[in-house]
Amino acid sequence: MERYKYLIIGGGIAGTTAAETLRKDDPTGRVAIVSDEPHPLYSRIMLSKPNFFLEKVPFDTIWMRKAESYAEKGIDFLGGKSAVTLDSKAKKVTLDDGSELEYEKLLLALGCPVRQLAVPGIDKKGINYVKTIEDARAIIANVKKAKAAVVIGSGFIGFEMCDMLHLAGLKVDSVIREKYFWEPVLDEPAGRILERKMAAEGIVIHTASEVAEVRGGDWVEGVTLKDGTAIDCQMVILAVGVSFRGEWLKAAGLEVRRGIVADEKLQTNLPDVWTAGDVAEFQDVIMEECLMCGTWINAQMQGKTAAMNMMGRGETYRQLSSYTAHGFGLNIGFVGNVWRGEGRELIGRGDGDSGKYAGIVLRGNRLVGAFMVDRPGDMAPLKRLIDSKMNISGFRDKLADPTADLAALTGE
Amino acid sequence: MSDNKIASVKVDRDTCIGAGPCVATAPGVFELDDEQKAVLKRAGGTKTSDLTKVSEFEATDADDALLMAAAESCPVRAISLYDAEGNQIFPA
Repeated sequence: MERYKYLIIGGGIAGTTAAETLRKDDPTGRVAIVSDEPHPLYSRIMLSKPNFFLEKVPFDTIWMRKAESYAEKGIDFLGGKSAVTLDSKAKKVTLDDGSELEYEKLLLALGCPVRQLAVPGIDKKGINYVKTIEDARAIIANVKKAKAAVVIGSGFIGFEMCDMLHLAGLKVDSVIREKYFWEPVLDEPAGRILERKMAAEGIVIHTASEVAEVRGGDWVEGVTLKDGTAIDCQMVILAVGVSFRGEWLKAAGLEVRRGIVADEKLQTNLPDVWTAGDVAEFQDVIMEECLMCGTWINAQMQGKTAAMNMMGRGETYRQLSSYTAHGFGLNIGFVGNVWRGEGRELIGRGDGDSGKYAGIVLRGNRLVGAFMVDRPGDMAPLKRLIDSKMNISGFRDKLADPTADLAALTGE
Repeated sequence: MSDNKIASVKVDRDTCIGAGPCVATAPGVFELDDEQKAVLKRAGGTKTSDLTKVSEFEATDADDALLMAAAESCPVRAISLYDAEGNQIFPA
């Protein structure tokens, strides 16, 4: 049985950063990465970018490490293998090839699997999720042959895929379960801005719609919606979010909710087991609640923090998340947590009809999140307001006034 | 005379998505501007994404290792590095 001081499950940016951090600060402790993909680290962010899909940049741009760079750094890379059981008492992980690995410190940086859509005909050729490099290769090949595409789902990936397919010259139908695009992350005025821009470019958006069946032989020839609408297409992209189950980890006694539950130091409820990246549902010290975050930089920085803490440093993870999406000429920014439920209040900033609009989410008298459609200048001041946990009761009206200078409120 | 080969740096604003690993790697060199695009911090306080000589940086610790690490950390390859003759070193 192989014994590792540091065992990392997951070869994405979180796991890779962790391995490299451990290797640098503890040159003698053995480190291994177990990755269910056989490839070295690549940029999953490229997987939704038109420049990449339309081959305006070389395919090899996607690689962020060389296959040999792991061995050069002294990291054992066990690619194409999945972990299937954990025994936290014996401190042992079993892989799908039957091999057993012993660890002193374990990091679970598994990422989040895409949510699967279960409808008849979904396994035909020409239908792809957007997750792996194999998906990317298939989509690039399909784009060259197809005349029409259907994109299912209205989140980040769905939006950027519609843009990419449109730029590639395909007829695009967007099928979304929600009543407006990107519900409930955006509010309705924001979602309608996207819909208008997309419709102006010829995208047909089927709101409040679900696919009943995918038609065709070996290859997809079309989809039929539950209301009977038939759409002909030669490719389908599935962008219906992520869903983590983690049954093998629950069986080991690990606390799993939507993700792997961790404290502000990214430690789980099991001794000597940490988590990082998309799969971590961690105590966020800025938001003061337990959250998941699916951004690249979050995964990278959590990988580093988790590695530090596996070496006993006791670091707290503190990073305000933000990201942007681009498509159809729009710049859409997100910061913090825009989830709106109990105890949250949404302030609209601007008029959706103007095409420039932001939604600011409050919890009591503090900002916890915001989304911005074509208001990129709001991002930096809103970040400062959220990060500083400032009491905004004195200037609520300013938040709703699109002409008010937010930067002035933060004293910068 | 240092043996650093990287003489200038540029950020492609159309490609940059503001993910921010360059800022995490080299906070003295990069920051995100109000449009969430990476800019280079020049001595004297100006900030730009345009081609900037390393000698014009505000930071004095921007050696090859740091700049290469920052450029390599970019998940959309928006950062380009050049030698003194203007040849692109990265992305290779």
